[in-house]
Amino acid sequence: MRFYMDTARLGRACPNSLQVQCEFAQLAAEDPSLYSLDFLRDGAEVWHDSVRRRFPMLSRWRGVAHLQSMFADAFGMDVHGSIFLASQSAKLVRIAARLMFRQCRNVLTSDMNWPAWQAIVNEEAANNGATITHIKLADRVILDGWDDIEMSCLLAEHYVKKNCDCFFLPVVSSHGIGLPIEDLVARIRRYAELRFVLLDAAQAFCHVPVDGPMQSADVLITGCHKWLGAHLPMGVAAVKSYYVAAQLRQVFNYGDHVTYCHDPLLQLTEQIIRGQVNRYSETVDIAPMLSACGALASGHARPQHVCEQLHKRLSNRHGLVECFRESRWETLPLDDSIQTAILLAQSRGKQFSPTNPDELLAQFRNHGIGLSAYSNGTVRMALPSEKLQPDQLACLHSALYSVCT
Amino acid sequence: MPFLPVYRSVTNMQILSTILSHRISRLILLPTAVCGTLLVCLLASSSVQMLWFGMLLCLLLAIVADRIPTADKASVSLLETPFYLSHDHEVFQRYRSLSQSLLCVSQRLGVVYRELALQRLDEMTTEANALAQGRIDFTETETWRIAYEKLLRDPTVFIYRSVALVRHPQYWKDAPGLGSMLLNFQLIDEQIVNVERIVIIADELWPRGEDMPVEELRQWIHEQSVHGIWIRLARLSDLRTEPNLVRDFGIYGKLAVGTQEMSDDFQRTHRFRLKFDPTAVRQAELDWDKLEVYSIGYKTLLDRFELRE
Repeated sequence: MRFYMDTARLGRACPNSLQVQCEFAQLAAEDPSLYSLDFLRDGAEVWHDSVRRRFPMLSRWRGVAHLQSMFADAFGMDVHGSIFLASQSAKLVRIAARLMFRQCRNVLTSDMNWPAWQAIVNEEAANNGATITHIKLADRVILDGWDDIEMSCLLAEHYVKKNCDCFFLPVVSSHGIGLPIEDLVARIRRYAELRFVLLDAAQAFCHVPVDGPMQSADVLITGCHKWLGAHLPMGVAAVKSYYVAAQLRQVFNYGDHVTYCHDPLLQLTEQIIRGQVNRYSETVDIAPMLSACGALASGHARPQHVCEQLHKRLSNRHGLVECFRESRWETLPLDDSIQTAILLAQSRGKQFSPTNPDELLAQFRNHGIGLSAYSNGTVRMALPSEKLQPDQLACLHSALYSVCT
Repeated sequence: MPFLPVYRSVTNMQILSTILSHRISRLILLPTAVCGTLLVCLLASSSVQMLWFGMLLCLLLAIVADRIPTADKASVSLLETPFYLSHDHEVFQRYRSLSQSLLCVSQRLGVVYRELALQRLDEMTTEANALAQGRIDFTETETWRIAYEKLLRDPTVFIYRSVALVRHPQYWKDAPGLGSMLLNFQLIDEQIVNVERIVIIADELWPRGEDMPVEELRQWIHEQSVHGIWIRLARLSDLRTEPNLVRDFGIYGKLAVGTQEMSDDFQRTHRFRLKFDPTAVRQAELDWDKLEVYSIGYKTLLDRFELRE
């Protein structure tokens, strides 16, 4: 692949993560007993020096608590915050949604939410007799060019009018629209009670700064396989206050296989933190934790680094948009206030017939370009952080001209 | 004028209903209606058909009206009462048993016995009247908690809103109170019901100027909150202009309202009164809305004061 622009779906593994995974595979082949409970709790310090030298990247692992503190730093959290790790982010969404509906009766959501996560929230609402207030926003933003204030006003207006008491929204939608979370929270609090804020940061973490939204959220959920570049999926929930963390523990401690709240990694990490590991529980895949640790160690998630990267990605936007000028594609213009490093484009005049995204994807792949394609003929491009070179732009230009013809 | 006969017939529905209440009349009417319909459809003109179907519609309405039980006790004569009650097997059994007992009381001759029996019957009548109005009282007993559990487990109850009037730090910390609290937690865990609670706190337990109530009470509140009960706190003195709001009550969905009166030591139940009455539920909801104005979310307090465990 000459030009990878599909980070919004699956990020490229960063070198650190790649090396961690290689070393872990090697360790599994040589001596799997080395990743013992002590190793998980205290890190590679429990290994002999010779082993540490053999596995230098794995040796950076300093235990579950340290990994959680690395994530906490990345979210800009203070000492009151808590981090929860799970094998599936969807499990964390279910647990958080269940907690939300213990206290709330009417949740505000929008069509910018990721459908799979929205379905979980819908299910939990139905189980608790709660109401979903769903706002259609995407078309207004994409087609009518709404800005952040217009979005915030509409959402706040519906929140108050429909007597909502919580909301579940993405920080950045899968279409790359940045939502004004902090402004929305401030607006709502002026007129109504806001009991719970559940945020989806899957597209935001390591892409845009999340410390601001984190301050407004009760629970913020993300994964590791997109912009962080850890490659292996792992769910991460950041909880601002110890109080909400205690509530969340209450939910998943009750959860079992029947209630869909059970997650083996979540259970293991919590047991390790509490020092009460059940040695007869199921075997858990710990590779995602090690891989995420490698990615975090490379500094990808540091707020300052994220800002710099975003700036670099956005500086590529102009060059990329220029490629569209003479092609049969056009970018969907978003207002500056809600732009992120994700670019949406559709065929000019909508004359492009194939609506099969796989076909569209294959055509771009033939030109050495990786991106996401949708059934309505729209494509999504995640802007790279490295400065686009003339040959890359030429490659894209050629693809945009060819794919449509 | 196709609707004219319908209108006229509706005005005579009461008469029809009376006729239909006789079994013989029903036996005659049904075959007549069927045969008449066949004849009219085959032989009569369209206007006659309209008239005929209008008549049939009136008959149908009369039958429906006849079968709707009349709840208004004033419209049911004393002699009709057992006939009405016979539709409800469970109540009818009690009616028969009570009637037989009353017959026995009436047949006894002792003057003193009669005086005492009548007095006791008056008390029973008062209680029965209360029951008839949807009111059930539990006095000097904690057994009301059985009804409390049944209400919380009722499939129509999604949300239980409770107002706790706390004048003593040991409020609901005796065995029955702890049991009810554990029931709350269990039902929340099982996603059977959600609970919201406004805690009205006496000023000596939450002195003015203090961020939080006294520690013993705060822990009780905190435990509930961690279990997912949405809690708001109000100071008793803030409600001095709204004395009718200062009471301990619970709203069980749209089903009932329960009011708890505490004993003089503010620890045990003196009386628990359940009202299965939509008006009472609505009034309690209005009181709840007013209490929300005077109260503050426990979560807001925590955010404000950054309390640490």
